Amino acid sequence: MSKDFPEIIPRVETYGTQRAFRYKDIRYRLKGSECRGCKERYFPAREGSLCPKCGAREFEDYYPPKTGQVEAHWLDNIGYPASGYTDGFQRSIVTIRLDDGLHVVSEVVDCEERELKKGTRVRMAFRKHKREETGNFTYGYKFVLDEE
Amino acid sequence: MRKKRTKKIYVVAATMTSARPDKDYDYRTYSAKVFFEALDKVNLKPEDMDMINFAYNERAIPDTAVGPMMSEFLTGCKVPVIGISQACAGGGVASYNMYNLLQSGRFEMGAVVACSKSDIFYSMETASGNGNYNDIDFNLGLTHMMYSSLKEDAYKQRYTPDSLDPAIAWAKQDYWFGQRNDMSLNYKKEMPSEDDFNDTGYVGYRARSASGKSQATCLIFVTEDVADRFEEKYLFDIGMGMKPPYFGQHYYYPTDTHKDADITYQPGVHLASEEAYENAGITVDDVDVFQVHDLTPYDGFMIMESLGVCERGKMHELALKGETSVTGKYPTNTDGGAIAFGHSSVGGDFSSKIVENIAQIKGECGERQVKDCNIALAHAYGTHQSVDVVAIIRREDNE
Repeated sequence: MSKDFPEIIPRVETYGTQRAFRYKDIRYRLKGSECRGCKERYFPAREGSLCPKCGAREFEDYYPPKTGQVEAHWLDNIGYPASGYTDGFQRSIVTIRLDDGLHVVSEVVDCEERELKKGTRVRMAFRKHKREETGNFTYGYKFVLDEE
Repeated sequence: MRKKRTKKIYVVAATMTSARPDKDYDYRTYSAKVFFEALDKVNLKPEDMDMINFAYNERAIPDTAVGPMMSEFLTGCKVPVIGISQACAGGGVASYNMYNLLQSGRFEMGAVVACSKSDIFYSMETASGNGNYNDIDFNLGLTHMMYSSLKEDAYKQRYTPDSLDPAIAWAKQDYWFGQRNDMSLNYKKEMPSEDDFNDTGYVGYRARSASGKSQATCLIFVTEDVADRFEEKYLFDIGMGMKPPYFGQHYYYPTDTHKDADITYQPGVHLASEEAYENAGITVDDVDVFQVHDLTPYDGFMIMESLGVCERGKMHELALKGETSVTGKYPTNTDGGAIAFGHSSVGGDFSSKIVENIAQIKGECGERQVKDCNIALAHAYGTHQSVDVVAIIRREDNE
């Protein structure tokens, strides 16, 4: 402590608003990365990493299509709802193959699990995610049935 | 490039606590119990160890200095202890690390102590994301329970869409073994009913999948340079493989080793087993007994297929035919597996299988004993199979 800062300042690093803000494009717009070398695409975005295919380290932002089809699905009904999701029990958890071939793990909302099967068409929807530890809500991608 | 194995590495002592612990110890006491028991078996002192790897689960043990903590508790600060946290495969990863440390020639003896004992009030699922990419997936409410379930449902939908029978056959086999293993969670307990096994909701899920437990294990490793000092010793070889941690990337990851995979095939298991087979100089056909990390029967099918036991999508047929039984072609999970022995994560999911494999090789397993068991395989995975470890253990004369 000094004269200028008489109070102890605890260092707190939680899942805070800053980080949620920094990653909002991943959650809001499915932001991924495209390798500048071989054009391989990835989700989620991998700035600062390397391309597993060619080893290059430079990427451009890539926004995949927001539609795709269910690859695997499972009804979360086994009694272990994730923290922050206890009121949304039972949820339809899915792996989705987007129309460009990338795979995303998410939840399909506004539908019954029995409506889902491999190949069911879905599109991204903007929904509430879990609360941050600061209490703020975060928002991001989930999926709904693509009726068209 | 990895070099070929240069030294023989042996396990000279392997200990574990029961899957049904009668007292609620802290993780240090659990770990000390197995460590000192292992040392006493082979008349060693803590300071005889050159290095100790302590495998733990950071979401269950919040101490920030587990290395120094365990060095002080187990050795009075005489031996360095490295903390290794790699989820359920932790004991295997710590053993892989120890195997290669001993290969280096600088060390002659080391221990891998592993413990899963929750020292926090909150359940693991509640207290942490318990998966990967927590900043993305956990906010979306995704945990490793969901990754595992997606994986098993994908296998079911693809290969056994109309029947639970193969999964039930696998689970029943685990229970048969577990009921006969006095260290198991289900020792002398009744098997779930047919109704329970066939239930498609929570009850069926519980009957056909793993139950958690606290456990500690210890393995003592030595190099061939000092192996003559020990009467009882088992040759040990190991391999490790990785897979991308973001679950969506389990499909067609763009590398040679992973590009043909999806979530029903486990390239990490394949990589780990290839390395282990090569180090041991064997093929999968030489293995007499398998211990695999089957949190569900579908896990078991996928792992056995990825180990090379059969083609993709065929293991469920072998399970239905009883080939995983004690008299089958591929005796599997003779300790009861995660489903009936219990799933202890880092404390036992790898190391307790080594204890079982040694018992099998020694012929001490009674009704569970596999005939002429000489070469035994142990597998464990961590964090929805983004890391897999496969180890081969056998007697010297089976090299």
